Amino acid sequence: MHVQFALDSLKIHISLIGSIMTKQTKHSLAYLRFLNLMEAIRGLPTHPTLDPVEERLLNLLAASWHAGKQVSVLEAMGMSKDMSATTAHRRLKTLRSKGMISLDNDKIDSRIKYVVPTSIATEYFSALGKCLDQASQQA
Amino acid sequence: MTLATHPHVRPLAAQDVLVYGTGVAIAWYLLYHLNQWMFASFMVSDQVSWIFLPAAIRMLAVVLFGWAGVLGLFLGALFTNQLLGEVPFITAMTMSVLSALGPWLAYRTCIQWFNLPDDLAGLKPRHLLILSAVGAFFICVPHCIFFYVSGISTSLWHDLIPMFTGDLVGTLVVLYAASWLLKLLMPRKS
Repeated sequence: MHVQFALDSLKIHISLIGSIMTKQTKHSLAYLRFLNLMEAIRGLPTHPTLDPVEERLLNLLAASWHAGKQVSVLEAMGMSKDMSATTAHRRLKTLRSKGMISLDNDKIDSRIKYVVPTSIATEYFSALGKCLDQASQQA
Repeated sequence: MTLATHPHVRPLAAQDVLVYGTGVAIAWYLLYHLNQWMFASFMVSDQVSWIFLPAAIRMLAVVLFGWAGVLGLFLGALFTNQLLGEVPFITAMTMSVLSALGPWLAYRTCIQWFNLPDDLAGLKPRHLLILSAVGAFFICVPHCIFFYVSGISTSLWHDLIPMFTGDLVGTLVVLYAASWLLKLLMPRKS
């Protein structure tokens, strides 16, 4: 009698746990698609927006690149007296994540990395140049 | 194992199909009228516009809801086509079927091409851009052929470029607006 009661209780427990687990793990296909779609929509390519510090650092780098200089990461970190090396390093990272700069290894010493402009950065400066031209023509 | 047979994934029930289908049809109807109100000057004819916002609903509906989305697109297109008044019922039916099946064919083609699973894991932004272009192609080519064969248009090519451009631009406008809103409302902390 007792054994039968215990078995029945166990069966009820198992079926309850089973139903709870099923409810928790069954996802709707539409919801999974929605999550993946939102992630893709969020990542649609746009022109990166720069904060003033990133803009300042990029302008300093552009001046050096225009002069034909190679700028190492260490040199880039000490380019501006208005900005600490830590801030510059952080902004170099964000500029890299935004696709505005990339890093090239030195051919002889692989510990040295040079900051180089990407095609997006070149387009960015070209667009700014065109704006200046238009502004000067209208003035 | 396909997703439909995956133990953790529940396929759409009949009730869900009805709910999603109705939702898509309503979204189509609203966006259609928003498009007519916002871009009236861009309309080439009743059926063709240089900017066509509901094209985004076509893509999103089939991507998210599959056949339920197709049903919603058919109902939405049928409703708006019938509202045009002068379109015969058979013409409205044919245009609605093309409007609903085109995005589905584009979606299935792209899924095979990108080799993506049914839950779209690994979907990249560039996939969306390609899907937008393929979707516009699968919509405008059958429509233009139908317009020509049924005598609505005297030239096969007349509506092709405006329709393709309208669908592509409309989809991109909605996608980029959604992307901008997502970044604005749910920014990620770096």
